[in-house]
Amino acid sequence: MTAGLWMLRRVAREVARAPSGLIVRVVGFAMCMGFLLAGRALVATADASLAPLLGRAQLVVSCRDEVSAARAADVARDLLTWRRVRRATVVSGDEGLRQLRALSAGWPEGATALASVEPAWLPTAIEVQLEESAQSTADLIAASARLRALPEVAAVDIVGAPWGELGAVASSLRRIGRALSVSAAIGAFVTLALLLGVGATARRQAAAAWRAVGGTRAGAVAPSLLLGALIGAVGTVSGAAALIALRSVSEIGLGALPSRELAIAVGAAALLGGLCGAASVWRAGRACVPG
Amino acid sequence: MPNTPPPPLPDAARRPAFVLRLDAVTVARHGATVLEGATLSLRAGEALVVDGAPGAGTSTLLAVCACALRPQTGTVIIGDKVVAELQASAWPLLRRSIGYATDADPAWAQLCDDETARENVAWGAAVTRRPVRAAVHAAERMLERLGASGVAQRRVGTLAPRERRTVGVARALVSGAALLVLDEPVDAFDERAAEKLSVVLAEARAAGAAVLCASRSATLLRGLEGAERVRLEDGRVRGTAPRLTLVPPVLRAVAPPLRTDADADEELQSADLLEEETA
Repeated sequence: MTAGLWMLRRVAREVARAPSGLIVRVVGFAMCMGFLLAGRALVATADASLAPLLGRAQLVVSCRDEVSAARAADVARDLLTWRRVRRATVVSGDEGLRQLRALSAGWPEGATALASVEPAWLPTAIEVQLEESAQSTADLIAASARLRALPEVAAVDIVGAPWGELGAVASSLRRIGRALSVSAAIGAFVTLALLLGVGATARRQAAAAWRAVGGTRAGAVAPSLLLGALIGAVGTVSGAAALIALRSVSEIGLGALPSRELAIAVGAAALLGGLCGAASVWRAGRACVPG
Repeated sequence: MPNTPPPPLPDAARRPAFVLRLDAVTVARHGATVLEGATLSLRAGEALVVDGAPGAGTSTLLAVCACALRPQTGTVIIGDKVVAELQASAWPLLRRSIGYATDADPAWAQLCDDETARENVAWGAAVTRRPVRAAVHAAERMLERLGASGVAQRRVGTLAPRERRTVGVARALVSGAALLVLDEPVDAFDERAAEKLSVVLAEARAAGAAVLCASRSATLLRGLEGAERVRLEDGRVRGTAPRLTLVPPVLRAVAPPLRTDADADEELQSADLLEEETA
């Protein structure tokens, strides 16, 4: 109890001693975490909000006539090992024809035309679905070209691609979000480095003085750890609050950030801040313990 | 049955325990030997004044006694603990039993420049698990007793060297340590400060603290009643004091490496017997 009160007193005194340094660190952390969360929110917006409108692109790979169903299944298995391929399903000619007939049920002319088609008329096909991060036009075209190069493949069709202006907006949002996240991560790294440096000399001196009179290492490190954790948590919450305030003002659609991710971000920032604070004074006062 | 008084205790039982023992301690810095073969011991309530010209190794000897400096050879025992054998976890407790104030090396003084004088002194009391309010009050009281109440609220980094030294002394004294090691605690000509410190040191000794002090203040030295003196020259202990078991380096080769309580008591008893026989 007494030790805890002393620790709180030392934290309070450190805050009172250099409030400007503390504000700089909190604001720096808040900006970084705000940008990080904004970037994540943009990506989440692009993925979650726009995906239902855009649909999900799919590559329909038509195999050559001589390719058997077993061989097509081998190719599909091989495709699953490709990077960014989420699903590869073999559709036999009969199944394809059945699907076509089902689709043309409300179209009498089409149904009549398909009625006379032989069961083996359609070749075996493979439906390939890419990951959500590979839904851009460039990604789809690149995958299509690569598939076409396979000897078993006769043709590749892109179905349900997010062509048009909406798709471009979604891609831009993803790109901006990623850029924001990367720059925020760099900013967070720099802030952490500053956190280690700002006021470290004074903190080390205080820790050494504490150990010189018989204080334990835990007692010497605890105030810096607590202060670092507070800076991390308060900085992240401030960044999130700024983000929410911006959203309510501009309605730019940054509301897709899940509260669970926000909680994880606050916890992680507190942990990182605390570790940085503790690391900055960990070796202080070694002269007091020559052993 | 008559109520007979208990027999008087033998001298060994009446003598206080050793607080500090040094045996053949040698310290070398930057290739030069600054302290050679220092051997001394100090019991609870005793005082020892270390004298020496600048560069004689006085501060080094005191730093070794305060466990701020590790000797290259020799043994340092604080209470019943051999310092070289201590685990890291035992150091905080050891530190609490030593009140150390020095001006010789800032790394040994370990004051926090960004904190107030009062807070620095209060930390000395805080580690003994004293509540915040009591520790702060004790710090204020100690600064006041040493005539430094005016600097209590000022940051140590802004203090003059003399004031800074007083803060260090107050911190050493406030914790009620069993061993007080004071390296030039007052200015040589600051008689008022020396008088105030003398009073506090006398109280500490009466409470059982052992005092090891290096000072050029005649007033302070007069105030350390009954203190033994030892002189250092070129890192060697030159003066001896019979009651303090100081062994000059030249005799150390034939002397036992470190005398225990029992050894010292035996010698005292032998000396008493010899005196009686002579009489």
